[in-house]
Amino acid sequence: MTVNWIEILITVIKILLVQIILLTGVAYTVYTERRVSAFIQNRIGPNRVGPAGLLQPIVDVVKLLMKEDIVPNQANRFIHSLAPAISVGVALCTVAVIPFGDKIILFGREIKLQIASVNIGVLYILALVSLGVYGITLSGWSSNSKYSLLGGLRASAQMISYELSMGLSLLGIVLINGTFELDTIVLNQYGWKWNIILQPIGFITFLVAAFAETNRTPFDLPEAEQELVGGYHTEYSSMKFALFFLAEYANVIVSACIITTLYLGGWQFPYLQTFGISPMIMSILQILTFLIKAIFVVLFFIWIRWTIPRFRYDQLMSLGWKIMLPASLLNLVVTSIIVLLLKYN
Amino acid sequence: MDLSLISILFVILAVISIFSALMLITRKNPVTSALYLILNFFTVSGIYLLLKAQFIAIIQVMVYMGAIMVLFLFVIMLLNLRDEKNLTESFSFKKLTSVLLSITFFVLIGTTFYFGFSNINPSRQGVEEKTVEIGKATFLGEKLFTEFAMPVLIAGILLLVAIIGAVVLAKKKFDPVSPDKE
Amino acid sequence: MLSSQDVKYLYPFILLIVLSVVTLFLDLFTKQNKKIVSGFSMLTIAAVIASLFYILINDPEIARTQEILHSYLRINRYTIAFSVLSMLGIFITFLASKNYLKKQDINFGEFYYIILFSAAGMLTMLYANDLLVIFIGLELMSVSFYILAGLMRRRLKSNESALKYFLLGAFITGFILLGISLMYGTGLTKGIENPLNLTAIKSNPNFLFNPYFLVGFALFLIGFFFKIGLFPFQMWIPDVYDGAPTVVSGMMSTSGKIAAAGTLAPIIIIMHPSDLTLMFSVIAVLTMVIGNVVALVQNNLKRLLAYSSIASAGYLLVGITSMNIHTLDAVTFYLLAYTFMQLGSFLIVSHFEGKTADGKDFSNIDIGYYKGLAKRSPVFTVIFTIYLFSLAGIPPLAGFWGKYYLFYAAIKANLIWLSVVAILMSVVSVYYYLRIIVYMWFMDSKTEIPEEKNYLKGNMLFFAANVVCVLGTLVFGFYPQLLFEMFKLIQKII
Repeated sequence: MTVNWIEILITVIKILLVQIILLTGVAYTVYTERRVSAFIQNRIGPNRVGPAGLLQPIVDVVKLLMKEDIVPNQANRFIHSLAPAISVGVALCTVAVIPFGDKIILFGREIKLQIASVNIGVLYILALVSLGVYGITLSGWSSNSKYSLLGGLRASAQMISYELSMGLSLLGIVLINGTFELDTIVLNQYGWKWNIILQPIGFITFLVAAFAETNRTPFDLPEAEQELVGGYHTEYSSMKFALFFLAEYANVIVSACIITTLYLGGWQFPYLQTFGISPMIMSILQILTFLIKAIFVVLFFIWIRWTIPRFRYDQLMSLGWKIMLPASLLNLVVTSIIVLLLKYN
Repeated sequence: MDLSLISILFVILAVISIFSALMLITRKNPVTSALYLILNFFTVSGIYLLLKAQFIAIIQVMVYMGAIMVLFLFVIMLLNLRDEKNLTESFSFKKLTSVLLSITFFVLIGTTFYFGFSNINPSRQGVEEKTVEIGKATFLGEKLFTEFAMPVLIAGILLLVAIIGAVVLAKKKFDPVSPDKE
Repeated sequence: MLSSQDVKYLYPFILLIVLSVVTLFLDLFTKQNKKIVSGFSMLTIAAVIASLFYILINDPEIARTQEILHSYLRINRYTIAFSVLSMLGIFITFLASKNYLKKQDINFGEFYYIILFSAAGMLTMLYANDLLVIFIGLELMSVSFYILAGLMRRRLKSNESALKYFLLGAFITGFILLGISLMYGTGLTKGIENPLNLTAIKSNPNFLFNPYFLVGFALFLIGFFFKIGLFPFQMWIPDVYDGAPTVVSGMMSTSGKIAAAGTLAPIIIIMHPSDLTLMFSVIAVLTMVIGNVVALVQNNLKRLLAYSSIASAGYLLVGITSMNIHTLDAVTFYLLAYTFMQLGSFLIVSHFEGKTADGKDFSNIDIGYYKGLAKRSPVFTVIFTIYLFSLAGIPPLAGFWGKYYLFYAAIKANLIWLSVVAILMSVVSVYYYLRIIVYMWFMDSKTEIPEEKNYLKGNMLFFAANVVCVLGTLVFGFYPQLLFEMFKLIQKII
């Protein structure tokens, strides 16, 4: 087999497009969060730069770039710089397996609206999520500060604990669909058959685990300001800090995409095929459907953050191990029994 | 993809893997060692991918890099280990003997392989197809839960015992029943 | 998938696994009373032994090896014999351990069901017809043993024992796995469908000439030599047996060794690596020399018994080296005799063992404590003397016949020099066994230790365990054919 350069070119274009959208998305998620939080707290929020403050994110980035990059004296320089890179890298890589739409026909060529269609998509997501711990843990350790270390340790303990229930709730979907491929999972969610309806308990456990994995309130103990100053990124400044910031919001967006793909039917617009519209418009509608669903989930993330207070550490752990894990196990067992019964009847 | 690309990738991964393994055992800082071990696992999972075993590759990443090594780092950080100072201990007879013995062992294995190489004429037929199959999760699952159901069960008990053991050996308050209570 | 044929042979497994999980839950729900857990675990083992005998009696087909479950498992009369022996060791341990556990403050329910799980590992190994299944069984057994060795968490020695065993064991696991993967790779490139299956290996006898396979096999052997405790992988045995709770040491040195040897011996018979005879012989000689000579200077009885178990492993290897039709019979008989006498000796040591005032170490395990034991506790002295005589190989006790059969097998295989060395080493061993007997019967203790009265009170089960061991030593001593008749083994030596 010879190397197909056109395929590679298309993939590169897809990667670039997706990453640009993702990064812009991050910038405006930050803006949205600030506006929404202001709204919830009865403030105004950023409204000076540009119309309604829309240029605020760009100014923020410029500000962060111009700041001095400080590395603490006793810190391990290499690991200190490596940690934010890992965080961002992991967050940006996860997008690779998410299908944004069905096939689209452009210039007489069928293109899949997914960067990489791998047969282990679900596992790929889980694997990358589990790697995300490293960025936080290493930043906590390498800063050589007690606040950072405590934040890093909390983060790794929390993420390991919630990874289990995350994986177990995903297994329910895998059981129903009999595959790890995300595009097949989305294809199977036609009509009303969204996984949120088929897997309500799994959806709730996955959602909670996703909050914990992204270190958002009510699970933001790794960066609890009142106790830990800033948690694992206390000793970071300038662009390295910005990278952590970027990673956090990229994780939020990616989680939203994953939740959309797995539970909310992905790009499926219920009964769209019955309307009889041209394939081109249908593809665009599908992408729009996906984006709207994802934006809705992101807004949900922000809403939760500004309404629910933080857990205590022991509450967090007992929730993870005593409620989430048994609930997702139960979900798995019940699902497998039902799948077995349906298969043999 | 042609074969040569795979070979080039394999050589790159193998070199990184060996390099990281060497760094792992020679670094004095335990955290650095752990990081090199992670790099090593990563390259090994890359090699699995080259063998078309995606499932095993991703499991390697999830289990070893995602779970085990995080706990490793966790423990190292909690213990706050300093650099290992005693490593450069002076020469001792014991050490010499062990080094000599292990060199002998490797030379023995190496010569056996070297001279035995002519004996082997591998028939790659069938092996290729088999490896492609093994890489698939459905194939593995089907095998494991039908043919190999019994060994899987035993492996499950093995993990159960390991969990019980961890609790038995590490639980803080674990006082036995006093004789008068029984 | 599961034919009724297969299920019939799997009853011992199913019983053991189900009942041990039930034991786990029983322990959870009966927090205070450990009697129920201990009783139930004894019942479990008894049920397993009964089901093994049921297969033996009701199924004439197992005279030939039957392959079950896609030939991942196999069963024949030797499998059953080895399984019964290892279960017997565990049963005796359960009988005798209650008082010891209480005395040493480790009366946990975990003790019982971890041993039951290790029994599941032993059965897996003994049944296995596939190297990977053997590996899983071996790991299950070993992991349980690591935990059991460290059960006394407040004792430094016990911690040391568990850690040493665990680290070395984990290292050896690497050897076994590397060996298995080399064998697998070789077989697959040679176009064999399932190269880890012993049947497949048997049908390709020229496998062993393949250097990759040979190295793999050697690494696999290293793993098993470690578990059995053969030179040069024997150094962990004294430390581990010394530090572990004594009843656990007794169990590890009998049941664990039966499982390992009972797995290894058939593999060696199947592969028949006749080129390795010299290597095996040298290892056997060195093991016997190390075990017996170092045992001469031991004052700590637990260490002494540990070295004696190393020496026994050497005798076993003498038998295995012969690789002829007598081998499996001889190994079976020796392991039977060994279970009674070695486990019995450990039980006696556990009976007299105490703990130091601060509770951090064992006490009364030195040979000095046994001075004048005959006056203090005559019954146990007599029992211990019988075990020691049997270990020393004095006819007509079971230990004598065990060694006799092993050396007979070796002589039949023209390994006369090896048998001569083994007999000489066995003579050396008489010294240190008799030394204990002399201490017990003919020496007076300088310090006053109160006489032991009412040894039966609250000690019934312990006493019953010893009765079983003594009876075994005597009955099989006077009537050694009984074993072969009991298990309908084909070979009848003499």
